[in-house]
Amino acid sequence: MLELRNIVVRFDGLVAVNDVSLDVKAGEIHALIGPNGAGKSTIINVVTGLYRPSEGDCFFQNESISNRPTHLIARSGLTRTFQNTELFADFSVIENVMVGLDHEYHYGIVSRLLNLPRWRRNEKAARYEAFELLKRLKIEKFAEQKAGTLPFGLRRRVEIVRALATRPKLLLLDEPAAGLRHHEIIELNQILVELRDELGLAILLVDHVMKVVMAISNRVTVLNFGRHVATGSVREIRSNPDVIAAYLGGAGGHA
Amino acid sequence: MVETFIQLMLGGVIAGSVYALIAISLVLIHNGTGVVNFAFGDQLMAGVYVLVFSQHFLGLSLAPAVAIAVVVSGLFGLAIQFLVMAPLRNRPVLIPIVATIAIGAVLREGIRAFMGPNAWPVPFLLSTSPYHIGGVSIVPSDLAILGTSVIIMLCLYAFFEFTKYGQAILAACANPTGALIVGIPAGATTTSIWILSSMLAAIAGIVIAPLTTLTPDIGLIAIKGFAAAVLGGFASLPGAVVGGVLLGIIEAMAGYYISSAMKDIASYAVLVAVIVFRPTGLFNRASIRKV
Amino acid sequence: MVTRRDTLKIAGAAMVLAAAKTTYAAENTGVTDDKIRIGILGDLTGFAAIWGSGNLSGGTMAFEEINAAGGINGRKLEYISVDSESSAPKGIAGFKRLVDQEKVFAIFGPTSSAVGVPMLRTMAGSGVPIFISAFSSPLATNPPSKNIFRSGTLNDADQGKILANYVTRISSKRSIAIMRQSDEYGKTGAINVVAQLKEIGNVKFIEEQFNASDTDFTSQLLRIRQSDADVLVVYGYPAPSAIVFRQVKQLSLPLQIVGSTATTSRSYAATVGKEAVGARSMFPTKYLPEGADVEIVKFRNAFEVRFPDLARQTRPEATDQMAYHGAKTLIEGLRRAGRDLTRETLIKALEGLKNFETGIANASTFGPDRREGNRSAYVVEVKEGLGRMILPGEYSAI
Repeated sequence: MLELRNIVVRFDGLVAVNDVSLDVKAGEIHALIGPNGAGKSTIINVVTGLYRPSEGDCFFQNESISNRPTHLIARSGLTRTFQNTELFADFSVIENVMVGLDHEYHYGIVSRLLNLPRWRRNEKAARYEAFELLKRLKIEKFAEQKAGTLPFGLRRRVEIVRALATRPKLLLLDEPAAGLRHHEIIELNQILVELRDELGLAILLVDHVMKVVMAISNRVTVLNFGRHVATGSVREIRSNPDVIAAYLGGAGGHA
Repeated sequence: MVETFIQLMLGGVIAGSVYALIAISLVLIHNGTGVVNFAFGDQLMAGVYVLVFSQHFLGLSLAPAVAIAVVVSGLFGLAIQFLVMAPLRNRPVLIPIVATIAIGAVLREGIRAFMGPNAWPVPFLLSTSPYHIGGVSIVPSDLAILGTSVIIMLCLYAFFEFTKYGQAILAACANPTGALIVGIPAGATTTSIWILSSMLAAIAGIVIAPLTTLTPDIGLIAIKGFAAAVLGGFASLPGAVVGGVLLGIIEAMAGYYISSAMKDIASYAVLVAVIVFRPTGLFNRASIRKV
Repeated sequence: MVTRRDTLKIAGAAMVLAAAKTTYAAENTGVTDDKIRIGILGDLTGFAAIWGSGNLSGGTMAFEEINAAGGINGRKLEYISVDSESSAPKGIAGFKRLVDQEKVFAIFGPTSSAVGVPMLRTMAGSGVPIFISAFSSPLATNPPSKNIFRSGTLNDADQGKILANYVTRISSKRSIAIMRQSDEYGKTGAINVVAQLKEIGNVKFIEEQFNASDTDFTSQLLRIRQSDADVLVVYGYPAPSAIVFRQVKQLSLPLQIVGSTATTSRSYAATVGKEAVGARSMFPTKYLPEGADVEIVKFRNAFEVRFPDLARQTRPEATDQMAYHGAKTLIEGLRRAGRDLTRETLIKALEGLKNFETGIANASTFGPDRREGNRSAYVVEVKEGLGRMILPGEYSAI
């Protein structure tokens, strides 16, 4: 579904990502792990078009997206969340989600002002759909609150819902578990597995938190200093000596 | 006297509605692009000159002349975006701001050279003869200014609140990265903000020019718009509207009840007090949506 | 070895030499057997361009006409225009360029008080004959500088005096209201009016201020309504003054409006609208630029042919008219100075002008200690249909 071929990213001579290849298959949760500075976030930024690769190519559903503008990549079914969340702080939670839904619903100002049936139907349907998505992540009771006033953990979830509203086929999550408490992590794991199993979403997950990565990932890719170290199932990765040397060595649960 | 108070209020609100119209556009550009547009007053001026040119030299009637003025002004906004702002995109924000000062000077002096430094009369939409109601004189042409400003502001409100384009612009202003990631083209939004605010400049100019008469220096009135925007926090559209109307009322009240010599001092004292004690503006509460 | 002190001495000596050289060169710089070089200095851009543009067009026309008629005592005029951009530093730079590089004989300009007043010392010190047609600060001619002359226009002190005398005469209640702009322009104007009102004595007055970018004058006018004033003096730029004129009528205030000369452009009444009817303004001459006087008609026709672009902006205006008159007065001075033209003989010749008429503006009179050519004014009134008429009566500041 998503395929990175020999991606290289340089910033002013500094090589952040060096010849990394990666593929995410339909319906799988694929984790991308590695120590700080391994190039994980850079890769997500390349995939979503916020950075351009210096070399290499990036394919989504067999089409190159290396030169596609970010908003068009998002519209083709590939979206993401951010480590520090990028919500519309002064919009209510449900409005945040509805902005994500917007290109699904077409209505004009005239039909709105005249309160035409088409607008009412669309508005109602959009609101209903947004609300259902909020329910899925169990945050429907915050629907009318300003997104900026929510605690961090909830903002993360709102962002996941907003991402879902764009009807993605592949979801990129940048450290969704960072800073979450134990019971929140359990819930998050459950949600991600549901998204995969019920909606058939593919998920590329970047995280440090091994409780998430090891519990739910189908496959894991390990990076170190911008280079690919290994890809495989959780069990294969755990026993890969290169990975242990580079990363896991004695770190236990958290790296 | 009650009539005096009402008369002052009326004058203040009408002047304030014009300030508000200007403040909205300044806030829109600032929030959407990070640039404080010092060319706005001159864009406003140029828009009215396009109207006058279309009427006097192309012989058009009012409606098509207004349409041409608004469209030309919008295209000028597009040109600003593509020829100036886009190439300066990655420079420190001071540079595009200084560029707007230069754009304003070029417009002003270009118009002065082409259309002359003297005033041009611009006809009022409605009669300037007042009605007297209970000791208060009400001038239809002034009400036209108020009415047009209110209608424009309501249209903007509807646009931002109820259309997906408006929502997309709001979203891109609030968070460009977040907007990109839900499929909103933030670059196109910046362009549309320049076009929209430039069209607003022409409209604001056409609204006030019959009152102020048209000279190349009519853009000075944008200073009042800046003051109104600061009063409203330079961040929210409703704040800009309230700031504009409030500034108009303060001027009128201070001019009468204190003294006309103190009028500017009083308005600017309020402004400075706001900057010192409420740097985010008088009305920047969480319940008012920012743009 | 050359020490720092020596260097300074040498530099000082060089400066003295240079200064001496300038003085020496001064007497007939810019005059050759067949040419006289004149600098035209004025604001062609910026807020004061109205006056600078008039100075250039009126001056150019007069100079071209005299050249076409064979020149002055066998010499043709050659003129160089410099834009002072409505800025005093640019004005000084422009002046130096005309004097030091262009080596002009005399200068026609500058054109606004904002630029001209800060230049006065430089201009007076240069010895170059300066002829002003436009700006109105009394400081230009009082105290008089040997080389600085002005004609046609009315200075602010004289205007204030004449305005005060006039409004006192027409006020049956001897109660005057003054609306003035809050900047230097309005302040200077009002000071002179108020000083003369106090001088006259037994006149009440109320003074209110406004900002040049204001659009609403309700508060000031309601304050004036509380007084018993029956005459309103408006001292401000055309745009805000137009709104004041209009709002006086809209608030039904029983006031006779008398504006300053700033409210006398040909299109002014049209910018105010029908509310302008009955309003009066000071005007520096009895000849309106749109009038039917013989010389004015000749001037206007020639102007419209020479400057079709300006004609479409309702010109010539009073500024073009004053400049044309001023340039003709300067030309008369050059003619009377004779073939033996030096700066000294020009100044002497100008001092000899008494009641010099052009038929374009008020006659100019200069003298050994008089540098202000015109010291009297007329009153213009807007009629039904927005035409204008000069009211009978000349009012003098002397």
